[in-house]
Amino acid sequence: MPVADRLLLSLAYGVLFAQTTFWAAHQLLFPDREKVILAARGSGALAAVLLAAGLALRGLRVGYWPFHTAHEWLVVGLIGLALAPLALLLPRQHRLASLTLSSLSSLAAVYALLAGDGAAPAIHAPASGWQVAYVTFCGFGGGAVVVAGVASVAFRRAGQGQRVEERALAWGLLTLSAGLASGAWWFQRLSGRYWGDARWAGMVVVWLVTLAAWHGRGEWMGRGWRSALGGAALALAGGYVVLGLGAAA
Amino acid sequence: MSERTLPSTTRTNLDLLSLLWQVLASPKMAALLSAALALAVLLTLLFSPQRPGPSAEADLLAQWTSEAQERFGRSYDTLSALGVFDVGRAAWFRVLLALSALTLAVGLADGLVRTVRAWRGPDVRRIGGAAACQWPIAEARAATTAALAQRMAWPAWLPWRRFRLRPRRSEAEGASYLYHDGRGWRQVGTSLAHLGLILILLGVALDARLGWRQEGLMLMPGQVARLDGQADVSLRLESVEGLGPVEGATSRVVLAGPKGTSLPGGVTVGHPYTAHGLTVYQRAVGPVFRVSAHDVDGPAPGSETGSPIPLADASTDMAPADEVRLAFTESRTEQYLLMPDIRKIVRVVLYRQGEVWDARLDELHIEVYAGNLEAPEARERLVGGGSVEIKGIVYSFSREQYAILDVVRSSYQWLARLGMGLALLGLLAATLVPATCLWVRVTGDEETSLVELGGETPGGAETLARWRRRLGGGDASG
Repeated sequence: MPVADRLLLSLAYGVLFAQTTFWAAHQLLFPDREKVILAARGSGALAAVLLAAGLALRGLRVGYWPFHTAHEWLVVGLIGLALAPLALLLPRQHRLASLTLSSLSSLAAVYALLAGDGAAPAIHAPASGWQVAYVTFCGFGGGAVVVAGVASVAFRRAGQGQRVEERALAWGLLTLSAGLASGAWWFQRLSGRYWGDARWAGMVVVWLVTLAAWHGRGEWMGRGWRSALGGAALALAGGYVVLGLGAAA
Repeated sequence: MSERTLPSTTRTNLDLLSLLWQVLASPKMAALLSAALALAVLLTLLFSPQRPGPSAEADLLAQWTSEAQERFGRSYDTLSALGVFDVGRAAWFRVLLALSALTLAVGLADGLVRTVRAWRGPDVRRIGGAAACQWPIAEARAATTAALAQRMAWPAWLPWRRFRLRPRRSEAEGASYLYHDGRGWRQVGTSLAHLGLILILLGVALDARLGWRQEGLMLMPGQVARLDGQADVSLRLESVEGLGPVEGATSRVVLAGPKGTSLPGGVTVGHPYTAHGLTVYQRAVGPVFRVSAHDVDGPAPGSETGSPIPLADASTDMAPADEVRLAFTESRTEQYLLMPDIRKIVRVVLYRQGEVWDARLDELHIEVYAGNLEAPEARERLVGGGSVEIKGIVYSFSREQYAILDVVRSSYQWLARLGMGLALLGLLAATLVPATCLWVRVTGDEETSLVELGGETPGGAETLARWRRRLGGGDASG
């Protein structure tokens, strides 16, 4: 039993590598073989299921709130990355983005394998459900903003992949808003003020940047260098959220 | 009946108003304002800590000013004039907020008009114009009558039934239209999000103007605080339960209101206590020691404890008393006691190992000075409270915990909460409901006809190409 969750997680990392291999094979060798795409998407879904099961077993084994260490947060991020090609990138022309995302998930899996259980706690003893919601929503939001940014840089020309960018941006805006609202509620319970600490204020900056990008998306998305510049800014902003969450408590 | 024309000045004014409305309701304006607000919040982070507010103590303000002048040197005056040290109270920031509120209000009104239009269906006479979802995307010419072309167009609609499109038919100006505008819920969502943000701004502004707050009340057990500006209400700390970090401590308080009604309650981190319209928040707890001193060989005959020696806390103006309380904070771990009757000064240091700070710290280092402040007369170490004898005087330290509390009267928080809920609900619809709008226009005569297609569909260009193929039968172009 103690090793069951580790076994599942290791297996999931292996399936993630397989997913990347399938996407690469599709992109480079078999652009017309639907079965390769099916295998890639199937391995993504399987990896997500294995990761979720591993995380649940781990929570049962250690007996505390499952999302406690940086390693566990990484696994949550990996589930998102494994599912992103399924959720966001259905149309045929976005499969290059699938390859990019699954490569990212493989790199993260390598880190997860190296870091293992030794990673330090990302949230020290969560004080409230609102705090957990704050960190979780902001984490997903930051990840979606990074995806939107990377897609904007990758698809600089009109008609290439605007639906990917737009949907990722929409998800980012929505989940960041939910995260900031949860955070504001949590800070209100602490001090009577909705305005939080400096890290929360940093996330407000990212939210406002995302809001500006959402309103002005017709002006820069798919428009050459503007798209690249806007995408880079978004990727940096989303990266700040994801990396800054480690000390959000 | 003759037609009346408006004077040219009135027309110009109406044009200007219309232009202003369009500018304020445009997404570009929203994007610009969001970016400007992002920059403003970024400034508060770059120039942190910001200047303390007008209600701050003079010492704190002076300390902040000297530190900021040292940090920014010559550019301090320029930066101060630009308001970067005090963004929340700067005139330009308030103008930015007011402009944002105005833009949101105009966006809300504009959105409501669009929502009504979307529910009614598009104005078919405007189809083919410059507005979004109205450009023709594909067209097909057919050597058939317009009536037949119209029948041809109908099955082309079928693939979109899975998106729950419900086409409507309309006839106008010799053309027949088949259209669907599914942006209604999206538009409702945008309006709700705007309304939510307006309510948040309104709630925060009303609370800032009409609310009341007293922060950093340090209370010892048994101590009562009169609240400035709340004449009828007082706050008493009964006790602090739970030794250790503030997260594990509970402050037992009593809020005494008008007519002598006293309401007791407990305050912990994240769980404030509300009574008499006031909410009490627990910010910190820490160690406090009741200190007394007596002479072992005192003049009182038959007394085992000797006579008490008056003490005074050097940091306050209080007259010497038989017992004083020394409270230690994270930034103040050293205290001085004056003993004017015997001309001694006692330095008490709460020993702190490493960065750990909580109410469990209990190791005291005591130094007694007599005359020469360079070298102490004697030193002692005391752990966990109790008594210690130094040079014929017994010092007693009894440990308790103090609590630092914030008291807030806030009557408009419900507006901000309602606003947050509405904004999230609105964003959910505005971002996730697909913007589907499709139209088909059939024009022609008895010999040839033109079928045009336009709009935005889920699936993008690939789906529209399939649409065009289904229309077929002519020289399709797009």
